[in-house]
Amino acid sequence: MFVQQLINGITQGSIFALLAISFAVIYGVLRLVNFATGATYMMGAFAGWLTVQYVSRNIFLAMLAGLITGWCIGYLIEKVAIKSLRGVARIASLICTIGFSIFMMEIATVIFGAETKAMPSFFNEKAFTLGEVSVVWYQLFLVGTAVTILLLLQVLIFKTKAGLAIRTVSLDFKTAGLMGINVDRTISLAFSLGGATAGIAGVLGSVYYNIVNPTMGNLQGLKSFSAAVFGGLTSIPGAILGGYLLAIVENFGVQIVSGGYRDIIGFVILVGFLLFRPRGLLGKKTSL
Amino acid sequence: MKKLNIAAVALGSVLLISFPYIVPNPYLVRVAIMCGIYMILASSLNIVIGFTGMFSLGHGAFYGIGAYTSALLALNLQWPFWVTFPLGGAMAALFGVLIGVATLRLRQIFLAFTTLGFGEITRIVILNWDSLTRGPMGLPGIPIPTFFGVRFSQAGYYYFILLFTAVVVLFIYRLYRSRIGRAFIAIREDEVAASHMGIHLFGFKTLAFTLACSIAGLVGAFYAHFARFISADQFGGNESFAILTMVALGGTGSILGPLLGAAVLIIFPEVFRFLAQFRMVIYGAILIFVIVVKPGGIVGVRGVFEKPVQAIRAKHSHQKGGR
Amino acid sequence: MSKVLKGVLFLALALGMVCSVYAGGKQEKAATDEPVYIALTAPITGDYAEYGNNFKRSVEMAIDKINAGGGVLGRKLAVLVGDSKGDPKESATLAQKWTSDPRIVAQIGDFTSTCCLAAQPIYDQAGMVQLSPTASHTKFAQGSKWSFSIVGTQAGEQPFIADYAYNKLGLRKIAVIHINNDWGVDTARYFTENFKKLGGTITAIENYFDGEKDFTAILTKLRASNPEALFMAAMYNDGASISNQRAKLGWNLPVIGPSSLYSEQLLKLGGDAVNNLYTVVSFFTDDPKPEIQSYVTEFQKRYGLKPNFHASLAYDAMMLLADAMKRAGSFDRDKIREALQATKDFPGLAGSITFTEKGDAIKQYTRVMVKNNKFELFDKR
Repeated sequence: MFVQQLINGITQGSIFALLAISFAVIYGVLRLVNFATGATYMMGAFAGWLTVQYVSRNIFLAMLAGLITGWCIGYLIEKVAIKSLRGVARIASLICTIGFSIFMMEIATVIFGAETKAMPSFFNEKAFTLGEVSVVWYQLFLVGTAVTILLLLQVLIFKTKAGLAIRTVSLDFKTAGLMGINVDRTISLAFSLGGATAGIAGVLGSVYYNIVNPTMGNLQGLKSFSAAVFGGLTSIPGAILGGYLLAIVENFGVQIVSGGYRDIIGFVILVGFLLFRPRGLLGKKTSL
Repeated sequence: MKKLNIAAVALGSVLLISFPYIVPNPYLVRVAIMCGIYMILASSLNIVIGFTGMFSLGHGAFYGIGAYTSALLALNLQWPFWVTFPLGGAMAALFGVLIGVATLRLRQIFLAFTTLGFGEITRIVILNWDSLTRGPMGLPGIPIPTFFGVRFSQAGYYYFILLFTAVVVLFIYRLYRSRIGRAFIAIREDEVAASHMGIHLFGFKTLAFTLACSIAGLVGAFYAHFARFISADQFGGNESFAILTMVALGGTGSILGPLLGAAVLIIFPEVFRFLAQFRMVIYGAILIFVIVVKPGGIVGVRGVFEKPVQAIRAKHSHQKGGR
Repeated sequence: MSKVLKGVLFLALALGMVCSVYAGGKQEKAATDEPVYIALTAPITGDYAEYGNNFKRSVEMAIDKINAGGGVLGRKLAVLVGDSKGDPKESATLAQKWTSDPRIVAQIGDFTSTCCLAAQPIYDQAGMVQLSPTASHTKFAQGSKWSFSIVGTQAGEQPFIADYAYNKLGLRKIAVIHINNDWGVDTARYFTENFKKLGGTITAIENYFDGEKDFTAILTKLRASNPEALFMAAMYNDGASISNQRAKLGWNLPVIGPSSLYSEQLLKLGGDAVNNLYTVVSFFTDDPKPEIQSYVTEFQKRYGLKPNFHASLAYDAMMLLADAMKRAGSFDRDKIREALQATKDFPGLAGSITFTEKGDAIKQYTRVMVKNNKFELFDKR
């Protein structure tokens, strides 16, 4: 049972980790919490669902669709709302992301209907069983894909020029601008990247849970946000760690306490960390 | 000019006071009462966001604490509304102080995250604490307040909230012009400078936050006795975001802004009911549009009625990035 | 100071303008060739939009049918739909709107019990029938003489299900998972009580919050208590998710649950994972009765999907209301209430309806099960 809860936690944590990164990338460059992340996750899931339903029953194609949708949404949010609001009150951008969140959720309801849709399973055969513990291939696939994406992002941010720009802008965007970095493009890139990870997470999550509906991203977004804070909002490895740890702690919390207090666990951690270790597990001391 | 003002005020007051009689439509009176409730909530949050420059994402929780406190005292101990009403505010203030003391020493953004978490924790505790709050079943049958033995009619509720709104607005107006208010604004404009001027940062921040929470608690107490049924989902994260949106849309830092924001966001969805399922789509779109076009809110920057008050500047938080 | 005061004036004027516009549009008096208005409060957007839209579909269909048959007492019916978003405050505001509109004679809705309870004081004070198709909260119908619910409370349904589990399926040890809202708590409580009374054992009880998508942790915990079956107090969407995740965990056992699980959606979303699921229904789409078959076919033709339990309840609510108006011989709000209270054996799609003193409906149930991804009558086997 202990092992089973751990496996549950790791699977769920993969989705949290991807979303937490989405928060962290954007928070890193702009110090802005993108409250439309949950809605982007949902839109990504719908894109994947449409692909599977009408194009081809192929999970990789679905993930690509989720990625592109998420990328476009991130890009669009930045172009419409964030860029014109840079240098103005940060609350304005924050409200704008809330506006986007409402807009996307309701437009999805209008277009696709409020009924929950079934997302087909992939790789749903049993991989192995150990006593009462059982794991299906998809869980391995999910964790594997998440880790691959996380590593790719890590490479992108720490080994490429664009990544260097993102890191520089996140340290100080005025100085970065003076150093000849195209700040506008970097911020736009960060938003698109954040959107894309949320979009892929949407596809992966919807296949795991087999459902797609307009409200699927709400709680997921909020919980992943606590995961991101947990790990340190500005640090990508921190966000990953936060995502996995939150999910594992949540699962054990259910085991030890009760399902009713499950959602509280995440938030107690959130508040606790803010009070006692505000920079999170791996956050840098100076960057918040 | 002065005479004109007095005339305008007199006319406005007469209109507001005679409202339930000019328009004897309970639906419109109810909408007006809801406007009043949210005007107070938004104005109180504005003390935190607009004046002092701090973020709070959990205002709905304090509103809920006030509502639950007052409702539980009235239901379990049969205490009259006039006693439970201030106690609702006091309980919210108590939690405000606790949260404030714990987080306000940290950088601003932490208040936002902590309050967000606190809001969710409050909701979940209410849902799980069955023996006291009846959990997800909610609290029905909250008594109607009486005024010298006469039970509140709808007009009674209307006048109560009208008076309450007027008192809060006047209070905030006086506060804004007072030494304390100026200290709040100084903190918003530049914390470092403010502290060098001898302003006790932590003390004033806690004061602003607690003040806002206690007002929210009072409205919550009123709401409980007005709606006569409360449940945890009425005070969740959505509520906090709705109040925040009202402040931002109307204009942070101005007195009129939150009033206007609340009125617009309460009346708008009512007027556009005929749009059916498109109503919320358009709501989201307009929200984005207004903020993009007027980032400081409708009357925030270059206000119509007030001296422009700069909203919390992005530069403000960036320059002090490293501490 | 003057600026603030100007603001006050401005607000007063704005409010006044809104009102005068509103009042202006309302001047014309209801003529006899005007239709009779029924209000429908339902979550058309938001988290419960799926259920609210089914309400709307069914009520509109019922009204078309009534009007095609000549209306009620020689007048046509029309429905005004209000979107409550599943928000109790909106539901209460709508109640105020409906009750202050003299054209409206009665109200159907809302979907959740919390919304219904929030609106109840207003209907009670104004004196308008508040007929909810689905509110099953034990405090709802008894809270006001104007409030009625046709779904039947869990106090009525759960003894039947407990008997199904204990005597028909021979189950002795059951674990319970329920949604943590008023409905889920009630459902779980009444099932647990009745099952224990029969001599069964409840091995564990766990709950989850609305919006939760991951049930693996709870299921793993319940599994450790070694039950013979799982009782699932959930709506069909969550029910399908729980079943899917249970199958992924490799945990196979019979599942029982309340009538809210009965929906084509459960089969669509759950696939093979929902086989071996037992529930009860008072409305069954494969019921050969002609009125049910004509309802199902027409619903499918109009909206491209099969109706479910909630949809049939909304249809019943509208038909029942029309019937009450006919019996009352009047569109008077008070007379409609009296006629409604006196309802006896009204033949609804979801079973016949008789109201108790308090305004709850007494229902009859049929046992069904899912086999080969289809709902089948249990007793037919």
